[in-house]
Amino acid sequence: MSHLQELESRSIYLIREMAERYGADKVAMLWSMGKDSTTLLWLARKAFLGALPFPVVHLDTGCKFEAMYAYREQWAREWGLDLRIVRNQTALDAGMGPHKGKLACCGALKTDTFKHAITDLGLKAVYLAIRRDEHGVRAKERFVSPRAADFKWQYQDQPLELFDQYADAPAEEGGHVRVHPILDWSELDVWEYIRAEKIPVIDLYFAKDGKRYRSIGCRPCTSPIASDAADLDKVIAELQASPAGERDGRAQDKEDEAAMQKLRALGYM
Amino acid sequence: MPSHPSLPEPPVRRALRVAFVGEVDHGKSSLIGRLATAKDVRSPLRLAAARTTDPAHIVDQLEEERSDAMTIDTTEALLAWRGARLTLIDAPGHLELLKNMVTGVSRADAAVLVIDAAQGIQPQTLRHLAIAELLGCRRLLVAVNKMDLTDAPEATLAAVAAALKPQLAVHGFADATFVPVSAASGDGIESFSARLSWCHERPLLKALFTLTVDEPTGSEALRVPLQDIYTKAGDLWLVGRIAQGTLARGATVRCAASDSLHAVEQIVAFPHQLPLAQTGDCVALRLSPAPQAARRGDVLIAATDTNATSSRIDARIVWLAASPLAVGDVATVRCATQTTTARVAALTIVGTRQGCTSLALGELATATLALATPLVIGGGAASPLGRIALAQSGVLVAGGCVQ
Repeated sequence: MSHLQELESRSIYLIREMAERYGADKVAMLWSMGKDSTTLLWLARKAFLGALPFPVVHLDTGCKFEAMYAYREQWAREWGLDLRIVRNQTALDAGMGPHKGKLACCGALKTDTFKHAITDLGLKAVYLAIRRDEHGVRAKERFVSPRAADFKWQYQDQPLELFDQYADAPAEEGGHVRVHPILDWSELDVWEYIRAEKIPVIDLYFAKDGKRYRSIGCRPCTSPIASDAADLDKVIAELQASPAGERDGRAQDKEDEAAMQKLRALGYM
Repeated sequence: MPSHPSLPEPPVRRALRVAFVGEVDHGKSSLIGRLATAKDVRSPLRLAAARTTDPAHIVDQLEEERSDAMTIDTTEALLAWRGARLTLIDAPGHLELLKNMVTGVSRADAAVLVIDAAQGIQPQTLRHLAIAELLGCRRLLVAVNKMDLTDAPEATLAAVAAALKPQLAVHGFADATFVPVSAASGDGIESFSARLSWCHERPLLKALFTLTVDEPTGSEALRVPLQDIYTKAGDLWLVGRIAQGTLARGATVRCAASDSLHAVEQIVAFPHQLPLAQTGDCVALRLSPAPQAARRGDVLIAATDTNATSSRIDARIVWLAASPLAVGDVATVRCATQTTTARVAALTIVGTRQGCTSLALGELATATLALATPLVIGGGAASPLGRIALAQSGVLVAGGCVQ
């Protein structure tokens, strides 16, 4: 079995496990239109023979790139997704933005929005496309991470995870599990899989005028890297030649080395 | 549907997973930090390395891990070197954190047993060695660390080796090699300095990247534990992963629970139709006649396989809960997608015939389990159906294997 086949197979297995465990009416997948969550979506379409039996949730901060919104509409239609767009309109109306501090902004527009989605949709399990190699703190995650309604990540006392046996969601209202099917994929694995499977990705990832986005999120907090990688093959070649991590272009990690731990402890994705 | 999977061949081989185990403070995280930042190694840990001078902090990235100078939880890092890939798994050494160690090691193909040259064999050295075998590590390397602190490195390594070899043999690792290293200085990682030039083994980086384990041949007895049943356009699709063996379209399989026979009409790895599914493949199967009563936990086996289930098993386990396990206790056995209730009929100290009445946190024993419903179980730790977990009140409390 090849490296990519093994990763694909293990991910599909976990996706199927959690939908069976909690039932399709109690699970959902977060989709941010980036390469990772689109890869996850692709894997889920394979797992369920082409059609997802549960909703796909976009946490919309209102300040994503235009290309992301266009892409969202196009592929949601093409793939027949049950797309739920959720926003923290109260915070947006009150003027929340990165100028109020990035921790506060991510907390209000992403984490709080996510909390509401869990309650509103009555979810017991949510699939997320985080990867260990994005950050040393994310590397400490479990494949299935139980969260109480307060969302806090109990990183000092995570449950046992053994072979393909996982911890259960807390029974309390709002208690759920975060499911991380591509946790052990690398950035390079994702790109090689996208190439092998011909998964459509947003153009922002490919270089124009000497710059490209290595990671895409909110416009104000995402900056491009210097790159001449204008197509898939060149992006893969660039990564193979680069020893650096990927989130170089994301502000919330740079600000404070422990910022990711603080964000994650509070329930950030 | 197209008939060929789209993933490219020839493929990059799957990355082996290697867990670093051993006593607290013998240098597991530091060695991983050194390996991840060695010359020509590509790894996501390089970013962290640029911000610290302590090799352990490259891996230990929680604030509490750094302030307390100890690994709290397991982590993994994918390394690429000269076109090959390898996943290194860090594990905490403290007995109280054993569930985290087990979480990491249960995913490993092989292990590196790290030993402080001056301290030699310590309690967690032996416990971790036993757990590595129990959870299916098929190869083991011994890294004798802190060689920069000893005046007589060759004699020190020889003494550690002499003391450890009988224990390695007990656990099936008699062929393990000993590599002298220093996580502090980097000696023995990429090459040996003059101090260690007497060593004829490969330096640790090379030893790890040349490790191989036996992969399934495909000729093992067929086992397909069902995960779920999907209904599509009136058809029943049985989904699951081929735990072992090979499944061909047109073959006849037996459903172990109902003992009924079915022909395999279609094998789908969406969007592809497969003529053949192999170990590890996640597939959806359409059988004829459709097994209306099939459900999660049923196991498809070869038609000729008529005696595959057991209702009493001997499982070697490590106990991971704070309160002990006693003879007579009840737990749920989970084996792949199968579950049943089990009563502990007896506990026996591994390698002896000596019984014991209870097991405390971190202790290993052979548990004789009486199962409420028979399961397709066995094959040892290398096989998915030989691997079990025990749960009580929905919480995992033990892991182990069944021969």
